[in-house]
Amino acid sequence: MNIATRGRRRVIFVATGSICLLSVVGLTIAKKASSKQPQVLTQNNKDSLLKFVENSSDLPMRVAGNDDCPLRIMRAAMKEISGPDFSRLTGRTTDRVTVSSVPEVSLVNTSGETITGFILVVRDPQSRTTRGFVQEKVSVDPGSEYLVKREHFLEPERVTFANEQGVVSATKLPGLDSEKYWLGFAEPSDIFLTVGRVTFKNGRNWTIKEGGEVR
Amino acid sequence: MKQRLFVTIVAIVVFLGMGGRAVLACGCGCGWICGQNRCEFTCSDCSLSEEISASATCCSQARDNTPCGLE
Repeated sequence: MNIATRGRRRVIFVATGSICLLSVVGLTIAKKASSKQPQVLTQNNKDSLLKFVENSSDLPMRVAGNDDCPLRIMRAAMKEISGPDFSRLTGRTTDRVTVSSVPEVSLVNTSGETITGFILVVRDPQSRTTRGFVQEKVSVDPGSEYLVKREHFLEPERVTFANEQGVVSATKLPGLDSEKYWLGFAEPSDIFLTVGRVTFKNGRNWTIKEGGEVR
Repeated sequence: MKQRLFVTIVAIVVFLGMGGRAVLACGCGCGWICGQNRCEFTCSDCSLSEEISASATCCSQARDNTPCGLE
C-alpha cells in the first residue's frame, strides 16, 4: 500500500468520523429543542382544557398592605394551572410549576368619602415585577362595593380574520389561551395583591406605604 | 425640528395603529396601555412607590392626549 492510498484512507476515515459526530450532535440538539417546544393540542383537546380551567374552582390570592386602605379588598380570586397546562394553552414555554391568572377582586369603600379612582397592583417583590391598572372616573360611594373583573387587567388585542366581507380587523379581549391572562412572571405563592393609591372626590389621595412584605 | 416632526408623526401612527389606545413608556421600566378610563401597566425593576407615582402621572397625562414617553 503506497503513501497516497494510505493518505486517502485517512481522509475518508476522518470525514466519515466527522459526519457521524456532527449527526450525533445535531440529533441531540434537535431532540432537546423539540422537548422544550410546548405540546401542540388539537382544537378538541384545547377546548376541553379551556373548559376544565374555566370550571376549576377559584383560589384566594394573597393580599398585603391593605389593612389601613380606604378601599378594602374583600375577596381576591384567581385561577391556577400547572406550568405544562399553561404551555399547552398559550403556546408559551415556562419554567413555573404553577401559573396564576389575573385576579377578580371585590373592593369596598370603607371611608366616609366618595372614591373616584384607584390603582390596583399584583406584584412579585423578588423579581420587582408588577402588573396592574390605573382606574379613573369611577364613583364608589361610602360603604359600597366595586367589582374588578379579570378583563380590567387586560388590554384588548387586535385580531385579523377573514369572512364574507374579506379580511377584517377587530379588537377582542384576550381569553384563557392568551399569556396576558396569566401572571407568568412569578409562582402564585410569591405574588401579592394590593391597592396602591386611592383618589377621593375632593382630589385628596391615599398612597400605600412600603415596608415589611409590601416592597 | 425635523426630528421632532418625525417623532410626532411616528407617535400619531403608533397611536392610530393601536386603535386609539396610547402605548406609553415613561420612566421606571414601566409600559402603559391607556384606554378610556383605565391604564393597564407592567413594570419591572422598580420600587412599588416609584411604579405608583409614575403610573398616576403617566395615565393622567395620557388623559390629556399628551402621552409621556412619546414626546
